[in-house]
Amino acid sequence: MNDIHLNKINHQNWKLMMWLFLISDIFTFCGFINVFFALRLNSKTIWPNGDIVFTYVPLIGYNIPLAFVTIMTFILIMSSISMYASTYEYKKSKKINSLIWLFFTILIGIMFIFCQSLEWIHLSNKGYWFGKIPIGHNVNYSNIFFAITGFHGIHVLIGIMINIFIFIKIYLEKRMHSYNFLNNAGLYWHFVDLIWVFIFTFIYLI
Amino acid sequence: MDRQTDNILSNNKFNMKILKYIFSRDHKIIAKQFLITAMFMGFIGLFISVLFRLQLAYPNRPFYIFKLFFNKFANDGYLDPSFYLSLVTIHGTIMIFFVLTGGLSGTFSNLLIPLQIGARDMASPFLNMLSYWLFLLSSLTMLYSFFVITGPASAGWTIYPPLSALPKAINGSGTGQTVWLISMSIFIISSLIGNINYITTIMNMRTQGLTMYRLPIIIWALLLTAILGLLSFPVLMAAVILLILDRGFGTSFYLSDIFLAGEYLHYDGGSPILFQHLFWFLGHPEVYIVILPALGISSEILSINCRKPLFGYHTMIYSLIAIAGLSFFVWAHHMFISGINPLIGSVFTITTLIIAVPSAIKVFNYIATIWRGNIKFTTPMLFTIGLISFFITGGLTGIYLGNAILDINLNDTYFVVAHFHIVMGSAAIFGMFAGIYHWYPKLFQKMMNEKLGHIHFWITYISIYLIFFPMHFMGINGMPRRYYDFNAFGMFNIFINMNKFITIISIISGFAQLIFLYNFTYSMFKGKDSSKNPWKANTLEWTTPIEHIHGNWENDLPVVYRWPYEYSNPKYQDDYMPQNISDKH
Ligand code: HEM
Ligand SMILES: [Cu+2]
Repeated sequence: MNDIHLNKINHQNWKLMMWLFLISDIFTFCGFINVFFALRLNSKTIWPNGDIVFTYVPLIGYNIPLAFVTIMTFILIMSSISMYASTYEYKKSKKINSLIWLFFTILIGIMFIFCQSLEWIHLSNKGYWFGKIPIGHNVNYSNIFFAITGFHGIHVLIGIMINIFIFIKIYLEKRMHSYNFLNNAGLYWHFVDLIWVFIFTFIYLI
Repeated sequence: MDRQTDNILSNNKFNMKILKYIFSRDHKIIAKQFLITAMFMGFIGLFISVLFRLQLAYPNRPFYIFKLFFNKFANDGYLDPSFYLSLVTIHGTIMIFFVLTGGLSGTFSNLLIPLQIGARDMASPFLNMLSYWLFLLSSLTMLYSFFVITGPASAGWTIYPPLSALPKAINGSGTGQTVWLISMSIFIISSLIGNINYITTIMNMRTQGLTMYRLPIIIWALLLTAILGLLSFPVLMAAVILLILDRGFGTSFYLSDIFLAGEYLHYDGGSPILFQHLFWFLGHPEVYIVILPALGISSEILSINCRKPLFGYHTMIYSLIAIAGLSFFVWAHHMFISGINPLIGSVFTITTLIIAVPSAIKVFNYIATIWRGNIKFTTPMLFTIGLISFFITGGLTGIYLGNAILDINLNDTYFVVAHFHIVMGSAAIFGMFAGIYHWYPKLFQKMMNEKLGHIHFWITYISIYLIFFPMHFMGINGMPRRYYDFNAFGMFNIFINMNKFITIISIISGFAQLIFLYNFTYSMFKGKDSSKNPWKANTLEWTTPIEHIHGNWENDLPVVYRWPYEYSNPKYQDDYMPQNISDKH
């Protein structure tokens, strides 16, 4: 038989499929980011400044610009590292270590979503929402802000669900054959983090 | 044989025949499912077009048929003006997305990719099945919009805001538009899954000896189609998400200071042009998503039926790549009159004219392939020649439209309608017909009737020119597209008879498609049995057993020794030399 190596090919297939999906997803995000710049550059009313909008830090106080979102960014990047560690340990057949790191990844993901909800709630109390903004400002600022962070948030949620699924799978399995699955989940997770870095730069910082 | 192959070969979970057909993961059956669904949608689209042609030819006359089908939208047989727009919209959407995108690339990618690259199935048969099911779901959702009280979407297949963004704008902007958006979102997911699968299969699963430069052109075309879809549909997804937010959540991405029925709406800061940019970033690649598979099909059929190697195999590949690449940089030629900066207009004029070069190279190669060939006028060959004819005629008008200065006058007139119906509509449909006639033996193990095929070709070919050629002149005289009743304007009175003529021809050509339908279904049961390689072709799909089996080849996968166009090489005894036969034998 000259198609004996089908099984190996199968792994490569899933990896390529994941990459193709990510490339496609990049284009969706690029669509949103382009809309962001188009609206901002053509704005005829005041486009709010990130330093002024995002000053809220829960528990501490109210006026440290961009502190909260920096923390959020930081923990999300941390989760990328723990995801990497989990795959790394799995490759070395250390199941328990891998599970611990994966657990941290899931935990941080949930924390991120929690922080984002806090921020959304706070913003909506301050009068920012789809179609709403404090008077005199360009309403599309809040529109595009919630659209992009919301779309990203959905990606994080999906990522968390994939991670939980694979956590259970690894926990239950007898032979360790989930490396490729874990690796692909990792790719997705790193991608979601990377996108957040861009969102942080474009929407919060500049 | 390892577990994987075993699985594919004996995937007999659903042994009952019907269930096997419905829940199949076999790429050949999924291809049939795509084809039949697309044909079903195609006939609906065709029927709708005949109906609104009736309205255009006889605007002040009631028709019983309107009342019969759309009772509530056709009072006493008079078609409702806003429902006319719905018909145009659904016609365009069905034809472009469901027939020529899902149907054309869905059918032939599924059928040809594994068979021609020597693979047992798609990279992921499961995702492949999912892709079809989502396609079916989105087709049915789109048809469902006819049962919505306010009628289907009516903002055109391009769903420009504000008509599509304000649910209260006209009847079709309400629930119908929502259904359209839902259907299209499902469609995008289906095509995403399909495209990922096609690309992966082509990249990873080619059989031994089949390098990229030994692939049949059709596989290259399907690969590039999939890449175009992968990169352009997500942008439409983004546009659709923002449109949904505009419709339901009070955002104003595409809207600014606007009055509706005298009432001031509180939208601020957005722009409909933004949507047009996002839409045409998909929209232009989309027209190539439609035409590339058809061009690929025609390359195969030409070479086989001229018994000659395809002229300029490598140039053919490079021009396909060039077309695919450039198609991302020409989108604003659809927006010359939307109020974009004239400087941008000039830039896009230039890129648009550049993309005509690789298209012309392809046409040149086709003609050079035909030149002094030993032509066999089979039905697929006739349709291929028709395709080339349309591609030339329609491509020429494209160059007119690409010039911003001319397009400012011609935009939104029947000239554009003529252009894209000839170059996209008809050329791609002819590619699809050619493909069906050519690969019918592979799909159903029978031959289609040649005589009926010829009749079908000649009626369709002639009537397409009779229908669309006069439209150029109407367009030059300023007749706008998507109007309900031209008799209301004195200046278009000269075209009254022309409109009637076009309508009559379109009814005739509509009936001619029944010949095809008859031929298609009749041959399935009573057609002549096909031999293993009925066209004496070189590609691998003709080396599989006549009866379909899971895994495609009984024993080993074929090994490839040569390129696919070894026809009439004096070195060999036969006038063809299949790819899997080595010189040593
Ligand atoms: C020589 C190459 C071509 C050039 C230079 C060209 C140019 C253009 C231009 C400038 C327009 C915009 C006209 C207007 O709206 O005022 C247009 C419309 C269109 N073209 Fe082409 N085209 C070419 C080939 C094609 C091909 C190969 C296809 C499809 C397979 C195609 C499909 C369409 C469609 C569907 C529209 C109308 C879109 C709409 O407004 O609904 N064109 N073309
Ligand atoms: Cu275009």
